[in-house]
Amino acid sequence: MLSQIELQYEDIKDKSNAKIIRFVGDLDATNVEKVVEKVFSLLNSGIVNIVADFERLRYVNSTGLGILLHFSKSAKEKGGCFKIVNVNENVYEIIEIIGATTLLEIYDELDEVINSL
Amino acid sequence: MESTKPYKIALSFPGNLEYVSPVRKFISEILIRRSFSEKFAYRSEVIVDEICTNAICYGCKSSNAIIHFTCFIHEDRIEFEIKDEGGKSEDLNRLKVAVDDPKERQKSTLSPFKEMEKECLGLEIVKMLSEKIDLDIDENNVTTIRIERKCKAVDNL
Amino acid sequence: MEPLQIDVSKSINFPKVTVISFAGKMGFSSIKPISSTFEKEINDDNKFIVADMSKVASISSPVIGELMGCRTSLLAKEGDLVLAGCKMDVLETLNALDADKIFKIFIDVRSASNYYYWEFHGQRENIDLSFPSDLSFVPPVRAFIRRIAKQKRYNNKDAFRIETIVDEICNNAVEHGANEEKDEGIGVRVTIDRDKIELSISNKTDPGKVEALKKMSKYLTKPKTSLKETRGHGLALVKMLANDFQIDSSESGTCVKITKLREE
Repeated sequence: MLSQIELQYEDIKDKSNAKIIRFVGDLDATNVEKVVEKVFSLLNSGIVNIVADFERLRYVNSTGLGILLHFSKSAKEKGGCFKIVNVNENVYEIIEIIGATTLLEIYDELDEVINSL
Repeated sequence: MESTKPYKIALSFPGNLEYVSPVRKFISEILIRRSFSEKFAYRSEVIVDEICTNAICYGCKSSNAIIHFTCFIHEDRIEFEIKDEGGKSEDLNRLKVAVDDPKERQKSTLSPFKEMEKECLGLEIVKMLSEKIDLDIDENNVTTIRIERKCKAVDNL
Repeated sequence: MEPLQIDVSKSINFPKVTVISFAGKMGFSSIKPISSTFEKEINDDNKFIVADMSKVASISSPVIGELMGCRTSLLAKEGDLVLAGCKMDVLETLNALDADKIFKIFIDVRSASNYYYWEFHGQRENIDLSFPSDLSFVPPVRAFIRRIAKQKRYNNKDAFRIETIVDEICNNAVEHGANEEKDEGIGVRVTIDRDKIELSISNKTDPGKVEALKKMSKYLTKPKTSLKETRGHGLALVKMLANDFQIDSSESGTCVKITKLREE
């Protein structure tokens, strides 16, 4: 059984190879595989530009961060990107402690990240 | 000297990752109810998550392995104690290095991403978020980690 | 290319689970050894197999096809093949071929073995908890046990009922039990398996409350359900929600035992 996380998808106007994924809940060792499956499904179907909206991502641990780094690497390998927006203070702190702020593309505003695609 | 005894909560649960999420949320909710700030509770939740995940992944050999977790809540700090049955010698050595060698490994030539792949960063987070971390491995490899986290002004920002 | 290393083992702790560990690259040339390894295990009537993929660097589509075939043979014998410890690159390949929708994938061998014992061998798990006799601890405790029920795939209704039972009994234990200051005054044991949850909640008796407890004892045998009564509704509720309910109360302490069957 998984810790509660839900991924909600939203298309981005005029960008057929991009999607917003809203992460809702907690990302931890018990649900990373489910999240990996869903995100890779998108990447493998040609949606290589992903905007991860963390506004409602309450929690992340080191295992969860590991897969975020991998998504970023994978998306780049496929010629796309994995960009993160609306990170709450608590989650940001964990990203910072791990030293991953320079490895992940993190934005403050959704408009800003969409314009950057 | 502290005038009052700490609150004590003791938990034993199977060495199964399914329990980590309920346990970490349990501790976080208790801290909020004991008037610690949400930030303090969140950081403590991360500590509990990482030490429980480590104990289950690397400190459980038998099918009925049990994790023993104790939390002491003082007025100005918390203490966690987690005990597992002990893992393989290579995992125990890795744990010793991670606990005893606070900054050296983090500053090694490995990039954070490589570190992540080595699944070591959980303890780095714990060290960053706590003031004190002690490791005790007895002759039967039973492993006990004790962590202390003080409530500081930064936790209330 | 170095040949794929294959190691078959049986865990002393999970004797009904066969672990086949692979190390290296699972390419086309490894199909034959993989196939013969599985064939031998299936012929030996080893029905539940965990493929330990933690040392697999890559996997090719023909190998995934071969593993699917092995799984089909195991399913025919009411067994299963599950994957454990896959690296990200392997997960990505499995996903690209939709194989992640076919195989159950676990974070490690231990989680896979636990799943098997829980689902098919009635594995029971115990959780012990003790906390101070103070009402502020009860909401986190009841939410904790609800979350465990949910983790163990009990539905929302069952989980909510279990939470209600824990709440009522723990509130009673705090109210009527000895106040042990900040020590662990209330003890809770949860025993859970696929079909039921058993709860055992105990507290010490406050010597000053023995008389009051005696007066209350009528609620233990005949909980009040009339809305005009101001006391005793908690126990009435618990009795209605639980499948079995026992109280052992003495001057030294009280222990309430509840059984709640899983309803689906």
